[in-house]
Order: sequence, then C-alpha cells, then structure tokens
Amino acid sequence: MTPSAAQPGVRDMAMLLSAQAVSYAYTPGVAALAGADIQIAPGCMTGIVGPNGSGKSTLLRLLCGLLAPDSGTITLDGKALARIAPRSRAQILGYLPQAVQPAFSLTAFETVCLGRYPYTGALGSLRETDLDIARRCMADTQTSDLRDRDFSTLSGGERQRVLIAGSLAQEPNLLLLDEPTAALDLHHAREVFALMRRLADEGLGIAVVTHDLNLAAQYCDALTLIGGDHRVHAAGSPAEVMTESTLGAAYASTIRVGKHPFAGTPFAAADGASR
Amino acid sequence: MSRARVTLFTTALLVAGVLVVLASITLGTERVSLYTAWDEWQRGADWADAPALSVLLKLRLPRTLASLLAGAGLAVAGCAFQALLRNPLATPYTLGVSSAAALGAWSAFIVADFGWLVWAEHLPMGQIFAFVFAGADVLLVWMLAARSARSSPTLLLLAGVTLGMLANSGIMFSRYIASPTRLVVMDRWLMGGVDIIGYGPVLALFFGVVPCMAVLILLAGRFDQLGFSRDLAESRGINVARLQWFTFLVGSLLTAVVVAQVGPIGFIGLVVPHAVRAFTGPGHRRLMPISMLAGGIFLCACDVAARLLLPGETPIGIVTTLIGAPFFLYLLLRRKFTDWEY
Repeated sequence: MTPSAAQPGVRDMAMLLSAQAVSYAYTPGVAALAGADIQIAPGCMTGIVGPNGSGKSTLLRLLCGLLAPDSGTITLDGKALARIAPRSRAQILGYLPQAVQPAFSLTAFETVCLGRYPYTGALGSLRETDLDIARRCMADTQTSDLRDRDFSTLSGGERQRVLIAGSLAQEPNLLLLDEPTAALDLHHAREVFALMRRLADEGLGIAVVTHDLNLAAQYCDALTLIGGDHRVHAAGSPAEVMTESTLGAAYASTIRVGKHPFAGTPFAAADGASR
Repeated sequence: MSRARVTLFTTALLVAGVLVVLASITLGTERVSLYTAWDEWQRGADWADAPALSVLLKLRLPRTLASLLAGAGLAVAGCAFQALLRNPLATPYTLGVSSAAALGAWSAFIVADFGWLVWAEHLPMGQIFAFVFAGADVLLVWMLAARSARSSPTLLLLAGVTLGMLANSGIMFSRYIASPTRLVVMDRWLMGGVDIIGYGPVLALFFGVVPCMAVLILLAGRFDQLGFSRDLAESRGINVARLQWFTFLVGSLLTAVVVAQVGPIGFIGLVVPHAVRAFTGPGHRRLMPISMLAGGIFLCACDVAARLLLPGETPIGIVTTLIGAPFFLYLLLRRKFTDWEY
C-alpha cells in the first residue's frame, strides 16, 4: 500500500502541475529549454524523452521549483509554483535528482526518513508516525530487508528503490524522477519502471526523464518528446509520439520504429551501420 | 547505530569528562588538593592565605573552562564545515581558517604597536580582525568549491592548505616587523594554549562560542539533508544557498572567537567528529551535540596530558597536532577517500 492508500482522501486527485511555454537559459542567449508545455496529473505516468542536452532535466528542475523559468508560467493546483512556500510545495511535489551522491553514509532507513523533512518542526525530530510512514514506504518498495544496510553499499537497483521510498515518505501527490534507471541493467530498469507504474495506478502522478524510449513506451501513459532544438516536438500517447518521422526529427538521425517483441508497444532503435 | 550504543558512548563520555575535569583542576606543576581548597574556602581566608584555593580558582578553573569551551566549539565548527562543503576532511584547520584567524588576531596587535586605529583600542580588535580574516578564507575556499561544479575534495583541501600557507607567510611577515618583546608573546600564542589567567578570556569564549554552537546544532537536521544530496535538500524545502551562507558565517565566527583567545589549535575539528561518527553514525542530530561534548573533553584531556607527560607547560597545540596529523594521514590514505566528492 502507498502512504496515500492508507490514508484515503489525503491525496487531492485534482492536484495538477502544469507548465505553459516555459523557457530557461543557464547562460543568457543560450536556450536550454524553449517554450515547453507539459502537464503532470495524479494517477498518470508521463515520460520525458529526447536526445542528450535537449533540456529534459532542466524541465524537471523547473517543474519542481529548483529553477525559476525565464519566461512562461508553472502552476501547481492552479497557484503559481514560485508563490508556494518551499515546505508546502515539498509536501505535494517530490523530486528525485539524477545520480545522488551522499557525502556521508546513512543507513537505508535513515535515508528514507530524510523524506519526512517537510513535516518536521524546527528541531527536525521525527515522531513515531514519521517512522511508521518510513517503514511503510520501505515495505511498499520491497526495501524493508535493506533497512540497516549502509546506503553506499547498496547495488544500483537497491539504491533507486530506497531513494524512491524516501520520496514516497514525503507523501507527495506528484513525483518527478530524473533518469532513475540510468545506471541500471535491463532487468533492474524494468523493475523500477514497473514500480513507478504501480505507484501511478495507486494515484501518484509521475514524470520520469529517461533515455529508454522502449521502457517508457511500455509503461508510460503519455510521452513528451523534447528535440535537440530544446523545443517540445510531440506530446501524447506513446503510439502518437513514437513515429519514425517525429523521433527522427527530434534526435536528428534515422530512428526506426517497430513493435516490441512481446509488449506490443512501439519499439524504437537508432539506425546505422551494424556489424 | 543502535540507541543503546549511543547511550553507552555518551555515558562513558560523561564519566570520562568528570574525571578529566577533576584531573585538570588538580594536577599540574603544582598539585592542588581539593580538601585543602575547600578548607580555605570554609575559613574564608584572603587569597594570600589560601594558596590552594587561589591556584584552583584563578588558574586551573579558568583554564579548564577555556579548554572545554574551545574544544567544544572547534569540534562543532568541524561538523558544520564538513556538512557545508559536503566533505568529511573539511575542518577549521585544514581549510586554513585557523591560520587566517591567527593572522587576523596577530595583525590587530601589530596595528596597535604601530599606533594605528587608536580610536578602536577599546574594541576587541583581535576578535574582529580574526573574524574578518577567517571569513575571507572560508569565502575563498567556498567560492572555489562553487565555481567548478565538480570540484573534488582534493581541490578544496589544496585550496585550504594553500590559503593557510598564505596566512602563515603573513604571520611570518608580521613576526619580522614585530618588536622583540611582542615576538616572544606571539610565538607562544601561535603554538596554541589554554594557559590563560582569570576569567576575561573564559567569558569571551563563553559568549562567543555557546550561541554559535547552539545555532549550528539547531541546523543539524538540515545538514543531514545537505550531506545527502544538495538537490534533494532544496526540493524538500531547504534554502540551500541561505543555509550555506549562514553556516559559513557562524562557523567562521566560532573559529575566530576560539583562535583569538587560545591561538590556532589544530585538528580538533577533524579528529573529534570522525571518532564520534564511529559511535553515533553520521546523522548530525546525534553527531553534533555529542561531538560538542567530546571536543571539550578531548581538548581538556590534551591539556592535562601536556601538563603531565611533557616537560613544563607544553603548548596544547603541539599535543593536538601530534595526535591529529597521523590521524589525518590515515584518513587520507583510506581507500574510501576517493569516493567523496563535493
């Protein structure tokens, strides 16, 4: 059970994160993202895909308020994201950055407990309910066995599951994940996608940045494709987005699209000389 | 780490603390019997008639309090700098903060010697200069860290060590231009020592160190988040830039206050948090209060050791460096070091 399922009614199903025509440049004049639109809704899993350096991670950082857009608007539940107090925002919106590198090694359980921060008082002490929620989130992500393991000794797949448990402990309505499967083998990558799918089915809104088009096609409800020109090329169902012409334009190369051998979803591969 | 283990460690620490404080107020070149002192207190004798009591109250007690406060402060500052720079090797000493503060404190004397800033003679210029110099040092190290997103711990430490060397050359220059009488005082002070007389320095330490420590310990939960991941911390509602500025200011102030009173005592901020972490784990909400306790007791114990084991009144800075330098090398050579990055 997710934390929300245990507390029916706590999660507001209408909670919608919406970006309209947002642009951002790290260096003035060099756009990292130009005029992007996207909507993240509870119960829906959205994949953000596109070539390296297209602005996927930038979009995610804008969506969670780590960056403020140069132009365009981002609203959460109808209110401007920038006007929501950071702690209140954190109770609605979870964010899992790419390649988390802790400076000090905590246990898996302590790692998950960090997710309770937006709910703690000035002294940061955890109440029994906070610990219960952390335990439940570990059970929910099948990480209870790792409880006392040092985070730095966990395998890549275990780390991601523990990190997701930590994000769930934040009890968000929406969760934004930046390449959670980047360092994982195909089996563990699929496991993480299946976990995100289940959480979405239980009511969590998910946006995931990924390079794995095929897993995204298999598990996401919708895809947003950002091209090498930092613009959104297509948004819609995987079948709508994953066509040879759309992908080819976004990646500026030849992409072939077929059918996944058993899932039946679109299956994309870069074309070129092979051995 | 289990709660029982932490409780056991804290209890052991407190017991050791009581013993160390008792040793510190009674042992030394001249042994002081607590009974005699109590007797003299009861009699209400004049200072002249009460040798034991006056050594106890005028020399030993202030010295003990100074070492407790200075050690506690340096240990907490060490924890804070390590969290701030996300680097377990960062300490007031290895970042060059202590040397910079020493240069600052010493510059204040030189300025006074030359008859400059006479209007400011009633201000604690030593502390003010120490704070300004220490702050400038941390600011430079931190700007280097922020400038290159991928700056390694090696870069940070080299920057700190280099700035420390720069400060040391400044100190050499001020020694070169100092009057011979100044020079003797200065050399002794630069070795770091808690052999203070009277309560003036103790009060300065108390009012400088205690509020800074309290503030830093209150930030412990935020340091946990910052140490785990900067971006996650920010997304969970922490204003990371503000936290870093604030920590850097308070940490520098804390170091400057300590250095201005007892000189640049090295390695407390490194040895103590590392040793305590082995018992409490890295969670700052346990680590920082217990490091505070352990830091005070450790410095006091070093002072007792300096009085008993080495000839005369060996400066405490020599003792802490004798213990700290090998420990630092051990940490550097440990394989895990390469895993740390800013």
